[in-house]
Amino acid sequence: MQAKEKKNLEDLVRIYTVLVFVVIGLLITRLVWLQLVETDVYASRADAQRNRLMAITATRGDIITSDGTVLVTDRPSYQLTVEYLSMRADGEYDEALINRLVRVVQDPELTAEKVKEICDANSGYLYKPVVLKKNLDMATVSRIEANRDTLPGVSVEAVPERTYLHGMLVSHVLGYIGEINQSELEEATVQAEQAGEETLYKMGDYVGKVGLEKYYDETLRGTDGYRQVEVNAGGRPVSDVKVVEPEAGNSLVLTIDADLQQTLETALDTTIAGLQSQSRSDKAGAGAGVLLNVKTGEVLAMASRPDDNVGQQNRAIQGRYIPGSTFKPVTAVAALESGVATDSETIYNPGRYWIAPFIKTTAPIGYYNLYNGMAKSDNVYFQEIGRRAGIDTIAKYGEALGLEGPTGIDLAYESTGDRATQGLPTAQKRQMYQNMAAESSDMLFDKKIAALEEEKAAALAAASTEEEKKKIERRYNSSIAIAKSDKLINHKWNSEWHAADTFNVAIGQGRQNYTPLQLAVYTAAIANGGTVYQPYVVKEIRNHAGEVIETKEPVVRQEAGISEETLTRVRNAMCKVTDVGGGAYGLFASFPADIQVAAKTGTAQPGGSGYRVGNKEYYDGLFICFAPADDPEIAFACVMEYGYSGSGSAGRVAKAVLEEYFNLNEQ
Amino acid sequence: MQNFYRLLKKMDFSILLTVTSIIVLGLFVLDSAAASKESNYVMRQLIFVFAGTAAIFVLLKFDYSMLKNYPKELYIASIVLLVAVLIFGVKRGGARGWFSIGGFTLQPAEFCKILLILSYAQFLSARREHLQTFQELIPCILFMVPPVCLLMLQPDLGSSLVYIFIMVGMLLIAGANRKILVGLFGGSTVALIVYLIGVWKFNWWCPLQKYQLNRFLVLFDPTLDPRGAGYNVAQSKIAIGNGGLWGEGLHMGSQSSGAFMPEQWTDFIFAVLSEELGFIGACSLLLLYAFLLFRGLRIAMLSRDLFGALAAAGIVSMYLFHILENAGMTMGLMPVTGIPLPFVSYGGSSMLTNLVGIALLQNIYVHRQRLIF
Repeated sequence: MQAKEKKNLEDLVRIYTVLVFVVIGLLITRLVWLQLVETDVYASRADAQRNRLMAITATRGDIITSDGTVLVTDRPSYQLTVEYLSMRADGEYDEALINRLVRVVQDPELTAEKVKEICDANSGYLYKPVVLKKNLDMATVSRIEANRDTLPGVSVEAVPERTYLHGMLVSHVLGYIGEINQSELEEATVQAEQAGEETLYKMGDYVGKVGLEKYYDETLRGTDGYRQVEVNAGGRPVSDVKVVEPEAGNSLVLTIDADLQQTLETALDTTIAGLQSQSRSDKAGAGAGVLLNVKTGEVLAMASRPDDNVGQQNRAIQGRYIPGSTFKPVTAVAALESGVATDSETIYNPGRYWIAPFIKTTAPIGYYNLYNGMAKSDNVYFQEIGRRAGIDTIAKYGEALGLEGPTGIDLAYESTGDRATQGLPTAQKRQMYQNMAAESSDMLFDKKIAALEEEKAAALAAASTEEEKKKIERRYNSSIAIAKSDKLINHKWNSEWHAADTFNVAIGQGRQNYTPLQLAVYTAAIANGGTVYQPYVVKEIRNHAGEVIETKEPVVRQEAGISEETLTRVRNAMCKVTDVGGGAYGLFASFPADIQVAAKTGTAQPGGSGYRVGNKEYYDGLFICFAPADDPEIAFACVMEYGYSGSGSAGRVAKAVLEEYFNLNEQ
Repeated sequence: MQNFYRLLKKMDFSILLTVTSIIVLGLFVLDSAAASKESNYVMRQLIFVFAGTAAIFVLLKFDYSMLKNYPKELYIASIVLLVAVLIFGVKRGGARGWFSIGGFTLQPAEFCKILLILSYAQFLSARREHLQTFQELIPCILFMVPPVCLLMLQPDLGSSLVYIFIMVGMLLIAGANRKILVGLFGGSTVALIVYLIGVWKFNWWCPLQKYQLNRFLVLFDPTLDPRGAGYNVAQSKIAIGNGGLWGEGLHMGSQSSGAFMPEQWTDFIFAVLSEELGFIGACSLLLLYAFLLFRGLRIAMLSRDLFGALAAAGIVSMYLFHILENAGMTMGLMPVTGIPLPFVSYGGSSMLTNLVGIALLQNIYVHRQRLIF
């Protein structure tokens, strides 16, 4: 090579060297970026795609009655699973194996095609066993086990399944579970975040939807375990990293007694059936009853109808009913306690009250004091003492006895009763209602006035002569003026509480409504000397081994602050209801003398659309009672929609429940 | 024998040492990368390492310059091989590029690189004074058209690119007009990128199959084609990133042992190495390559004639592009093509070809001065 060529070559090689330097430098720079700068990002991605968690569902706790009857438990249910990879070796389905499996399972729906279809649908998660069939019967399980050798990769897995051992018994209280939905999941996540904890819930979990299952979900559900599996690119399990066993959920022991509950439910059903056969109550079918221990607030029985499906609401805590005459003990307490009436003062009943709207009474014409007034449920007597006490006093004692606001029972979705048309007509509620009523009345008249104005403008436009126009002006202006003054009158009327409203409230009608549970709580408070307990359904929480880990104590929500003297008089008056001449006389006639029942019947006239069919009018039947009157143990409240009368509907249920409680039906 | 011994002593031992280091490192990584395979990839690879090493010493005796006399024969031989493989070859990974001979498969596209480098070296050497105008350069470019077209018929896009890059590298060293070179190849690279963006964004016409196209397009959008080309690159980037500074250790890489990358013993072995040996290992490998390339270029410079210089430049270009393309692909810098990492990827043809390349470099080096006996 010539020297010049040599020199030239050296220059060219130098250029090439720079090129090599650039290429290698570029690659190393990229390495620095990936391995030194961004390494955490990639390391966590590698982790995430390598490790898979497979949840092992914890066994949910049992729910047991106070007398030891297991109502709900998790029973093992058997499911048929296969390993995807043993079904499909080398990318081809093992037809022989699948056919053997199909023959062994003997389910006409599980064909070879179906097996492949299910496997295909799960091919994204090779590490997960594919569930082919749930709820295997024992015969199928044993057939599969017998053929285990010829069915590689096939297994029978036991998974806990919620089982309600007594059908629909206590169903409204128990509630049910279902797969968690998006909003529940978000809510749980937000709550957990606020509490600074990790959420217990994940997609696909089963959670309590209503009732105890919901209220005590965290107690019942336990802690799911998991199997951490390391997988490869195809999702094929490479190794089990670790297995964390699930922790079984805790069990609930209820205050509810199985026998009492069964009696209550049967009584509801037979009473409803009886009512349906009578013309005046042929729409019966719904209702609820609650039996409380007056000394603790324990719920001894609680049932609601209808119960044809698990989605039905628990009317005992969610249904709101006008109390009818079962409210009269509150009016009595208000009058006696405020001193506007004494128990012995008599008031003459001329057939209807003498002040407008002259509400009539079904009690015979004559003189009434607290005792026969209560026994005969005299509307005149209670309107008069109610008028004297005034709405504020009545509301005050109603509130004291626990009729305002939720009872705080440990069940999900108790009605709060905080809307204008719900609960007691306290000053606040009345104001809320008046604002609402005035506003809607104003709106009505504004609409009417606007329509008139429009009509007038149209008529004016159509008019041809001045004369005609004047006529139209005159005619419409007077109608508009009338409407405007009507608006003012109505606004004023709706913005005020009227004497008649108080009369209605005093006899349990008008704008008030309560849940059967609230009625039971208030009855219990009258019975126990004025203590308003927070009712509860769960008395004990036990762990999986059966050890008691928490015992619930009675919680006093409030003391009514009513003198024993007043309460004694009201209790005595309620005793007259079941006595000779009382509204519920005869109902408890078979009871021994030492078990006297104090009660009050009620017939509510909701007056809603469903309650007036042609000339026929329907009523709700209500009943409250406690016993024994001299040393009360239990209080009971029951509402029977379309039951027509208190004693004839809800009263019958009360009788059956009390008989069971006092063991009177065994003789 | 005395003569052979003197030749041996004149060899560039630093190259031998470098290549040995790369091969040993590669065998360890291969052992890990192919752990899931039943047959012993390391043993099979070793057979070719020994065969190639033997070639280095056997070929040392012959002066490379005798090859100057057979440019046409070398060229025809490679065309025949490339045509034959299209007819008699077997398909692997969708490309008909392998001869199957007694348990081994051989890839003629690899061996032809050497044949064409030698043929082209003589071709350019003869035209050394006539590489300045566009007209003069046209035959030099046409030279590579038949082999590249034959490769595209397999189709083997990666090897075609290697051939083109070798051509450009050798033209550069031959002293071809750099303005034309840069204009032509820089221009076509830019044009290609613009075209690809056009295909990607505006659906321009494109003869490639969707999956082939995606191997390019993932460069612009790594989230594209997450189950195909995008998946491979995403997984190899995770592997490399997961390696960090020190790596997970041989056989310990979760990406590698979990087989998240396809063909991880060949195309994606750089990702395995980077995950298991970390930045330290991957950077060392790249530095070893850099040293090898610099020594190769030094041999080109010291060559006693232009033929030798061009042959050496051809070999260096071959290595350089393989390294850039293979490592660049695993890091998301280059399109996805199936070309091996020199001395590391599993593959007999590639190992043999690369070692023959070393043999050629050593031969040019030891014969840089006429031996005086």
